[in-house]
Amino acid sequence: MMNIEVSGAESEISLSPFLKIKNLLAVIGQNRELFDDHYASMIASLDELEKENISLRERNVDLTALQVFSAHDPLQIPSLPVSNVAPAVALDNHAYEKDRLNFIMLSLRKLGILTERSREGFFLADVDGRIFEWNHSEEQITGLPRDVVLGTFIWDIDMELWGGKNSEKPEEKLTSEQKKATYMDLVQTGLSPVFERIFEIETQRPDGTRRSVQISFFPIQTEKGFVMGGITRDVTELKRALQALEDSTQELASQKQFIARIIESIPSSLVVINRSMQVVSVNHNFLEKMRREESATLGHKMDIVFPEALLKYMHLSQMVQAVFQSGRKVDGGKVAYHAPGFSNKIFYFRLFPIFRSPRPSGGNAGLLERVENVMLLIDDVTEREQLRENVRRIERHLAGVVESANDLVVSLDPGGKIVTWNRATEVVSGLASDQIIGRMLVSVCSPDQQPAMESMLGKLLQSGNVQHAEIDLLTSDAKQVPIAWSCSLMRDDLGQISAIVAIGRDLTERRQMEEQLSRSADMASLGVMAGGIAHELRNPLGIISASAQLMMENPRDTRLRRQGLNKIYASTRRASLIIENLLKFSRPAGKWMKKEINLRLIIDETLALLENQISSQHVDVLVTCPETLPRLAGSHEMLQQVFTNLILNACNAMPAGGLLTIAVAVNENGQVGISFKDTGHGISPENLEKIFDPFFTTMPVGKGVGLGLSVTHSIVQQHNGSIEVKSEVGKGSNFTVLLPRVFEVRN
Amino acid sequence: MIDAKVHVLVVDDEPDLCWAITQALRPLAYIVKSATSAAQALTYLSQHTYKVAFVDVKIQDMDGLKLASLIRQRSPATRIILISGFYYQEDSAIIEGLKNNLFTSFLAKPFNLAEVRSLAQQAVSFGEL
Repeated sequence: MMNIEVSGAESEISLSPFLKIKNLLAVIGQNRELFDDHYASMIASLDELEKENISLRERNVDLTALQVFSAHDPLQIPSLPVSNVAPAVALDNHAYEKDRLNFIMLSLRKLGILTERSREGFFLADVDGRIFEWNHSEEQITGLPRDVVLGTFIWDIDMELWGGKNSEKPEEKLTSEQKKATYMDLVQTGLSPVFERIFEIETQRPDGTRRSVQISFFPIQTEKGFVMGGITRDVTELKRALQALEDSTQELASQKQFIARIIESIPSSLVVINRSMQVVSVNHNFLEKMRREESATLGHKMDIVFPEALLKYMHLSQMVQAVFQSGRKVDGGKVAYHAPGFSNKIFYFRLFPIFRSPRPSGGNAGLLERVENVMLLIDDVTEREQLRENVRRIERHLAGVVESANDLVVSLDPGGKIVTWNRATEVVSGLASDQIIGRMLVSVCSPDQQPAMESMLGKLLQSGNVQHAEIDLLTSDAKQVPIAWSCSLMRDDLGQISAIVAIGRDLTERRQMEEQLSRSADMASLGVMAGGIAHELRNPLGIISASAQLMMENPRDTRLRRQGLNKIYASTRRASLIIENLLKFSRPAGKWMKKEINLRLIIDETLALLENQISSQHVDVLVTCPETLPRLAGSHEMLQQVFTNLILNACNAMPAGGLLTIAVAVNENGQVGISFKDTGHGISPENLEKIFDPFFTTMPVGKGVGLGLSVTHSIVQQHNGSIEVKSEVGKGSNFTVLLPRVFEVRN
Repeated sequence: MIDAKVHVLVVDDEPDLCWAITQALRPLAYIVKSATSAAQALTYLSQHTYKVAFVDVKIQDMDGLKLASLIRQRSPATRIILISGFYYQEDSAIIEGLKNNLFTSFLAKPFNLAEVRSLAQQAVSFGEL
């Protein structure tokens, strides 16, 4: 059923089967240790047989069976009855040889089993290059069944071994002819480039699976020359395992490197101490900080490595011991250390236990766990501390500034809730900051001014511009304190509104001062006014007094009496007019009856009243007035007062005489304008804006009380009118009273 | 003095007061001239020598005290009687003026006619002593 050519091969292979097997065994013996005790004796027997072979041959013993056996699947042997062979042997009739042969058969059978069961494949080729041995494992490894392979030339089996893989030109495959030539060369010389080497190749089985296979070749000497044997081993799994091992080794190595790099690049000092209190690992940072050489550090006791100051002050050794015992990490705290040659440094110590195995999460592992090492992590926190100290100082300073400020400093969140409330605010409001923080600022404003505060904050958030407002603050005893608030926005680094800052100034004092000031201003103006009034009144009084005395002295002088009486009367009217002005100023007219008025009449009456003054100052008066005027309503007396003041002002502006033009006209708005235009000295621009202020006068003391235009203005306003002033220094002034055309007439 | 008559100048921007003083002095038979402005007064003074000048403190075109000093300068012989409705007898300005001989006497409004005459006579007789 197997190779029929075996018998044919027999004639060609004159290699003694014993020698062949011996060689085979030698090869196997080199490659595996799984030989039983029979190995040595088998070799010995085979040696003997080899010797006897000659005699056997000489005695014409048929060795075919043996030959067949050696080339056959040894597993098939058990089915091959020994008797089948035995007769051949028996031919010789030598009992001894028969026994020998039996022994050999047995041994060969064992060997066959051994070979067949070997996990390594092996094959043999004869001097012609034909494969005549191809064991089961070889089938398994190569995927090529024995019945296909046996008898084929070894160079026809493409194992790429023919100097292909490791030659100088790996790409170029040898042709079958070249391979054959190589093989033939081997048969002649026993030398081949493939010997003494172990090839590792990838084979693809017919089923498509790929295997890694190691092949070694060896020469076997025969009578006809050398032949080739090969042993193949499937190292797929091994390679895979090796690869995995290598991978994991590499990974481990790179992880180790990675961790080492991490440790080196940590900007902290790192020291690992073992249970003998020796330093087993440090990073560069530590060595630099402590100014130590690695050689003088690693393996040394920590008591030597660390500066004495640190050991003493920190009780570092005790702390390390404690970590070994407790297995818990310890925050060693801060320590200031002045290393020689270095500026004062502040270090922060932390101690971590390092366990032998990864610590199981949770559970009471302490008993099973052992702290192998303690890792000290030392951070240089000098800068951080300095920075923190600076920040603290600045914060304290700022807080101090805010706290000691005289002004109220309140900060609010963007919603208006109070976040901080400084001491000044506490003092003014009587509300402690812890009472008030979290409340709305609006809620502590005077109720009627709460909308004002709300609107101010709203405007602030909307516009972003600083807002000012005077809003009373409600105090704890329900009083209201006037506060001038300036509110601004505080923004964070991203420009988002982070807070509202409200700075408030207590206006109480200022209000008091203002009141005082205003009172003293009142007093001062009272003084000015008193002088004015004195003069204004004492002149007519002087006239009255003198006239009366003259009349008394000259009772019969009728002319004098008439003059005197006239003067007394005129002066009395003048005096009472002054008093009336004063009253009107101090008590502006309240309700008065609006009656239809005749403007022209009022002007004429006023001019008549002032005739004396006008003529004595050489002032010419020109009045222009339309025949018909819109109907106007108002107070005859009050308008007369207005005209009196304006005419007197005009006269006073023209001490050397001049022209006063009084013109009545209706303008495009339907208003009736009464203008008083003089050719006097005019009013300077800076005075122009003050002329309606009470008590403002450019006249010498006593000449005017400074009330005329104030009263005038007030009266015109009460008539829903207005006064326009145009003036040019050196040319004159023009005062125009504008009265509305439609003036509601009652009655 | 060629002219035996006493010339008196009254300066007040109130014509009625000038009239009153003129009338008060009538019994003394002085020649009284009235001026209602400083400018007018200085014109009169440049034309004639006045023995006595009644000068109101507040005149529209010049402060009376300034006018007084001008009169002292230009007509040292003129005795000045200051009249005022503004100042009172004890006013520092008045005390100062009297001390500095800026004016001879002070007359507050409203005044007594007899006092006007008495002060005028005192002033006239002062120069004759």
